[in-house]
Amino acid sequence: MSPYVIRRLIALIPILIGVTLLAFLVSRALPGDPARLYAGIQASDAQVEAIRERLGLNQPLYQQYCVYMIGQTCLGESGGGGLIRGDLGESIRTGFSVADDITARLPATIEMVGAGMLFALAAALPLGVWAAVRRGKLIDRFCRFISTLGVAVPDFWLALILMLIFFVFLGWLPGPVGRLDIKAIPPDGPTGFYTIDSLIRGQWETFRNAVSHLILPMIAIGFPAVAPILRLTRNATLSVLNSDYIAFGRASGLRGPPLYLKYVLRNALPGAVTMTGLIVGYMIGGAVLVERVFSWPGVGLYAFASLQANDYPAIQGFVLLSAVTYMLVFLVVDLVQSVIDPRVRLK
Amino acid sequence: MSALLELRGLEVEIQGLPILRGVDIEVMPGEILGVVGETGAGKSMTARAVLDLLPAGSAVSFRSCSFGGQDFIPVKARQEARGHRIGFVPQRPRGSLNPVFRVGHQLSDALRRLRGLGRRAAKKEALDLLRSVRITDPERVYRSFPYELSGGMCQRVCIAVALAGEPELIIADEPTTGLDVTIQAEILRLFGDLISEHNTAGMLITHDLGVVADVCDRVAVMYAGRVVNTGTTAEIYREALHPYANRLVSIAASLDSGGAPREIPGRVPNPGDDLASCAFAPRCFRAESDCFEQEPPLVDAEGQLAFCHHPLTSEAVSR
Repeated sequence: MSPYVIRRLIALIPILIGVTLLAFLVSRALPGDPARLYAGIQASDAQVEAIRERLGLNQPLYQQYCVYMIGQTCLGESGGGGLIRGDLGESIRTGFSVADDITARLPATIEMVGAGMLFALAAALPLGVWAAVRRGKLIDRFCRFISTLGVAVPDFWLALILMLIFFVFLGWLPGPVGRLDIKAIPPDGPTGFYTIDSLIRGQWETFRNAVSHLILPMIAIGFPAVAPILRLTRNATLSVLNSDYIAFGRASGLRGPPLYLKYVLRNALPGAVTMTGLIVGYMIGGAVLVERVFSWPGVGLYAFASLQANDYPAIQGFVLLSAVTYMLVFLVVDLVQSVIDPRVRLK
Repeated sequence: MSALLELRGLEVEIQGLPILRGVDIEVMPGEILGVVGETGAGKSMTARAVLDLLPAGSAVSFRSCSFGGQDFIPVKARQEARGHRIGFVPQRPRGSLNPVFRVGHQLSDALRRLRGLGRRAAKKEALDLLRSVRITDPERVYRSFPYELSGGMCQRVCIAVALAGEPELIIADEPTTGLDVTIQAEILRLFGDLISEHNTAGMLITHDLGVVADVCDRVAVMYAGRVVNTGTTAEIYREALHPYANRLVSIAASLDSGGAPREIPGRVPNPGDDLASCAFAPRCFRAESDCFEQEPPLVDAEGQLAFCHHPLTSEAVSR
């Protein structure tokens, strides 16, 4: 790993400590009492109090935070745990380790968000270039319509509408039952992405099944991202098209797809890449609702359920995961920028 | 000998404003034609019209236009000539190379595109081309990005790109603007040498008459969207027929000899201004009433052609 990357990773640590404190306090500020939810409606006050004691929720806040961060050592007891040892605590709701819960659900979310991002880029980049080249023409106006629509339509609403059309009315795609048909057996693969794993295993039927389940969530989470990337690409392309190097390229016989998709797009790309980074962060938030709509068993759905149960460790774990993802994405964005444009120096 | 590029009555309007008002230009095989004039005279627009590279919102018309015997009026013919039959050397070399691709990549891309070479053949040819534009360490330049090279080096690379398609004509649009004076001379000499080495013709657009004297065989002097005077470089420098060209030459000469700069009174008309029959008449020391009332005739004398009622020679014969 380059020294630059290592420095960037080290710089993440203080930020992440701040994030844990914030996540800790915000989850405590949520209305509702996890001990009462855990105990159930029938439980007596004494039972609730006992549960509260067992979960450590009767301790002062600073002590709870200390235990969360450095484990039992904080109370002067021996024994492990704590965030510094990679222990995110135990979920109040599921009773499993939060780290295990998240790891099990992460591939589903990455598969959906990744597919959504690819969908958004595959649509937005060529359309953006095309709209700029044919400025003011029909395609440009179509793109402006798409952009406006993308900003105006919330992803969870789009998810419901897509479902209504393609599942309820047309019956072309499966309903909201998760990543596979209920009877289907998940592929046993190394990545946890059903589409990739089934391909690796050569299970075509499972692959078809996984893809058909992925299409609607992919569009629902990806479509809102098309608008900003499209608009940015279009505007960047317009200024690139006016540049001396494109004029010279044209004068030297460059035209058609090689001109636009290679020489123009590469120069118009940096803005779109930065925007993509921002959008990944937005998508993690969007995943909570979209996964809910499609019963997609990812971390978003987990976060949603955890929120309803006031499951403090799980909520904190999700917030921390989002923060880490967001910051890693930005590191990747900076690395990609330096690959696209040699003038970008990383230091 | 018939002309390689022959342009008659080229008119260009940009957003309704007349920029070129009937340009006649011809370039003979093997020669370098200098196109001179002040900023706004329409020199670059003439070149861009030939390659169909005018800005959006332009309207072009020709009375006739042919290149190597081919009718050049159809847009498609002019577009297909870019790079293949006509090479182009740009004004701002550093900005004219794509900033995110290595120089060698851009050059071998041009070779693959224009000559259909394979990847390896293109690389070999690219290195040869870099050598032929007098780059001493072609391997290093090949691997460089434009921002790592000097302006003069970038211009050599641009010239190599212009040569890549083995064109019959190379148009250089103010190729030395923004370069150091010492580098300017080198680039011009290189341009002149390459034109004869590669058996092509050249069209050198410049506002610097000194440049023309060094490398051009013939000169076309433009004023307000028209060619007002053409002739061999020697003739134009000795005694230009057209008063404007004549003044231009004597100003350049007085600058060279360190004399006080004299100027031509008045200013260059802007596109859309009301022009007299002879656009130069309001500034001309020989102007008489006919200059304002009648189109100037084409006069032919001493190997020159000029549009003028009162050319600077007694033997000028009106055609």
